[in-house]
Amino acid sequence: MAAATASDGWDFSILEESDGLRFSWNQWPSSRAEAQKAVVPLGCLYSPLRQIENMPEALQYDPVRCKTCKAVLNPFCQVDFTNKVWSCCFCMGRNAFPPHYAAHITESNLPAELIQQYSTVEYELQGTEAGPPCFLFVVDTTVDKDELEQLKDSLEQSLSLVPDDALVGLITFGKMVQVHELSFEACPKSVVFRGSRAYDPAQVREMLGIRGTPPAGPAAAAAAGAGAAPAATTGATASGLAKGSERFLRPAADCSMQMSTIIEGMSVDPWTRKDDERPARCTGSAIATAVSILSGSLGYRGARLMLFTGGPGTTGPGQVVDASLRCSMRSHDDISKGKDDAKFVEGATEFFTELATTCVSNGHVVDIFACALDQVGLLEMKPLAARTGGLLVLADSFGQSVFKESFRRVFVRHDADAPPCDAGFLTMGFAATLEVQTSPEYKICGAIGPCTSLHKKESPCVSASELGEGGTNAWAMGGVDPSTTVALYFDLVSTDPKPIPISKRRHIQLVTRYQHASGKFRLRVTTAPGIWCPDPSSKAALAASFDQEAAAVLMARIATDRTATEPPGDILQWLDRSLIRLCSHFASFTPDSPSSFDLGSTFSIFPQFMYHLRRSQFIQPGTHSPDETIYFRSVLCREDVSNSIVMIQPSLISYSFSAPPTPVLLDTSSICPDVILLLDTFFTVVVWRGSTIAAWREQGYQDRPEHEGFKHLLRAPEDDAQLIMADRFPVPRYIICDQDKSQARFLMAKVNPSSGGATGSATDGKNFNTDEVSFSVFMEALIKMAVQS
Amino acid sequence: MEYVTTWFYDVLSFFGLYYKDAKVLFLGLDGAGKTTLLKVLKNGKVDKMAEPTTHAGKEELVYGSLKIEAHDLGGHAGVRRGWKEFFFDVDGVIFIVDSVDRDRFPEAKAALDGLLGSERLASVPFLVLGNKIDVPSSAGDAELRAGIGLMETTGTDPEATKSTGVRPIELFLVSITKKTNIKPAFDWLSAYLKRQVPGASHF
Repeated sequence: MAAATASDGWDFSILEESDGLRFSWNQWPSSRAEAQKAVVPLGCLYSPLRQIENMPEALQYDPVRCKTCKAVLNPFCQVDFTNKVWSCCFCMGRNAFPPHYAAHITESNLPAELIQQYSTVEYELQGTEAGPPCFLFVVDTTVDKDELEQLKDSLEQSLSLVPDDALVGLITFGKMVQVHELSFEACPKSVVFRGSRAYDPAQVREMLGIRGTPPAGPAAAAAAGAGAAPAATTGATASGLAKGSERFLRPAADCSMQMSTIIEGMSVDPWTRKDDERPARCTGSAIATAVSILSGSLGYRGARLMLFTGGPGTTGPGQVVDASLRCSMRSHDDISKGKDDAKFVEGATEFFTELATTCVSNGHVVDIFACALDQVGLLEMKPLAARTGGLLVLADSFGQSVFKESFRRVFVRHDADAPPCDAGFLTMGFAATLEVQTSPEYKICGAIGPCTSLHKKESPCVSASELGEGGTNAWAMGGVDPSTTVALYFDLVSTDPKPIPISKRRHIQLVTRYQHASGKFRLRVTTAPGIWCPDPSSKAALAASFDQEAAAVLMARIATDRTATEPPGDILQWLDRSLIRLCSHFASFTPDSPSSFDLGSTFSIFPQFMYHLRRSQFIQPGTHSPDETIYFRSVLCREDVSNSIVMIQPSLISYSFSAPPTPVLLDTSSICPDVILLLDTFFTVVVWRGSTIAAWREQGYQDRPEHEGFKHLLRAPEDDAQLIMADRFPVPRYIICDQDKSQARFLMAKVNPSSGGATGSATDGKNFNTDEVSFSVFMEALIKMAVQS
Repeated sequence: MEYVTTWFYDVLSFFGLYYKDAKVLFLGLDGAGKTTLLKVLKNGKVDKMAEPTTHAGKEELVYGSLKIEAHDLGGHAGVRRGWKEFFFDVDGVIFIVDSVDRDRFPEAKAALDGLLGSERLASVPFLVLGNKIDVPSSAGDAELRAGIGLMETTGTDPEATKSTGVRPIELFLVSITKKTNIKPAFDWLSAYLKRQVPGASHF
């Protein structure tokens, strides 16, 4: 559905709700030069599995494609009802309708995919059946006893959350890797692998007695990109597994007893260690073994490898730290200076990236649940999750709700009142690929998000300039869920400044092929039209179409992507320069007169977003460890616009007796002794009580009948915090604290130091000493630079 | 100058003559100011307020002619259990106390006592910092000493304890964010670190 522009401005939520799309600019300049002046790149954020209310039930037939460019028939294609032909809105090619369309189609009898409001539809691809998904748990047992008990508890609960027909498997690891047999009922039995070495996939299959090969599924078709015609799954037996692997991967309903028994019997890895050593933990070998089992048993079929780990890998391939406690986990400092403690980073990252490549080619997903008080090597393992569309959860402990509740939410299902083809199935999708088609006037530079380029350079939609995962118009996305969001960046073809006729439309088509939890393959097709700026000499139309939230997120993703290769200082400089150029291009002002500066309403909060992005943990690691930093960045690169905005500029709500709950500035001026503040940073939700409120609470006012109002005031922010946390993934860390207490730093670290600075005083508990630049100083400098002639 | 020093270290390490940086642990309860101190020493300025630390941090600091590998460990009760994993090859401990938060003096005392009783840290010099003295209500020297049970210390003159074999320990009252009194405290500690790092005298 087009984001209809009313005379009073654009409503970006329309396109987001109907198609899961948000563009930085909704009306595009017509030439490269004009686009460059606009500074913020042409791009969009797309959520391929977003739940769309008015989407028709999955169509039970295969899509009709343009014979020339393979674009899917959509509501923006022109239809000639007399001659039964349609012309493609991308390549203008004329296509005859297939006979069964031609026989019935009239202006009043349209197939769903031609109805205007169904700009996003889903097809259930016929003759494809991959079978139910597979869940392989890979569990670290070298953790404290308490931690292991908590983890066991969660694992047991999850057995009731996994669909009955889903395959499950279990691997535990410590010094060794143990692959548990699930078909042997007499007593627990397992195959043991040494943790200190890497077994190649053939050796793993050999040792496990997996003799057959996985059924040849639609792998070739999917690997070739979503555009290829889907091949039928062949050779799928009852379980659809390679012969021999049914001992280790079994339908949940058939082996829940054995699984429970094994989980219950899990104990802390018994190997003794020296006083000055870390426990031997072969995380790398365990993951490699699991990857080999999945690829050897299932082939191209939806599967999740779920890693639960409580510490760093200390032995075998993918080791991230020396076993000796005399050596410490690498810090940002070690990595940037190439110090000895960082010696494993490169090799381990390479090792895990290679495993990720195997997973990508099979459509398998790797989720990492890291629960520890120190780093576990998330930095090195990140490609496993990021490239396969896996989930990352970083918590302090397996007992924390950040882990426990998040893990439960992985298994969320469609509502019972959803269409029958969805109802009751897990919402997660597997083995997804995304292919994008563009109008000839623009091309794709790349994507930033949980995806891997499929290197389809030959497509005419691919630009020569690359950004993120570039040089392609198709990506492997692996695991997808309703919140998965990918950023796409575009480039205009024309260098000619003459305007594109107003009647001309540009189009984008996003085709996501994925395995539904039902085992059937689905194709979600979103087609969206857009318009061009009528007059290159006027910036008004362009400015009015600016979506500052989407723009901030697109900028944040580029900045985050660049952190992999550039020091933070360079990225800050790029952000600053971009903002100055944007302001001097779009604001109205008299040269050299800061007071005349006026930035239009569509840009009003963009500088604030950039200010908070600059000082955020995404760009400047600050006091966070490499693991934490990579975690924050990965989550930012997979969430939708509204969640990302909360991450960039946390929201703050003030509760007091004098007014209803009010959103307030993320600023020290909002900190008062007689208010309660609710801070949401996405990762952490903080209820902060001003010192007066805290004192009243300590005196028990809330328990006295005459202070009923106080009781309600205390409760309101806590209730709202629960609402925020109710369906977020990962579940945020929840902090309740009083002013000036240690935990209040979760709030103080986020607020703008408006009245702090070197002149501030620490005594009133409101300001704090810092040499950091406040927003108003930042804004002053920005305006001064922008108006400079 | 830094270039020359770095170069010199590289040459020394090439010949195997270079001794590792002095390893110093930053310890104390959560909110005492460990991370802020590390950032002040590292950058010379106060960054935005740090969120409570969970994962241990590590920075290389240069103090005069001394290179320090500073470990900043989280201070809340859960993380404190993991402190002992860092007690190997330690050359110095900086223990920071929030001198305003009197309610937590007993907790700080317990943590400090635990450290002083650790066999692995038996001969390691302890620099105790009473932080946040810019706040008017902060505890003074005597009150803080009583609060954390640190009546006897070895004195501010490193020479005096040189050959006594007693573990050096001293309290300094500081304001980290105002950068008050940090230098004398560090001069005191570095006098011991120098002695412990053979080879450092070459510079």
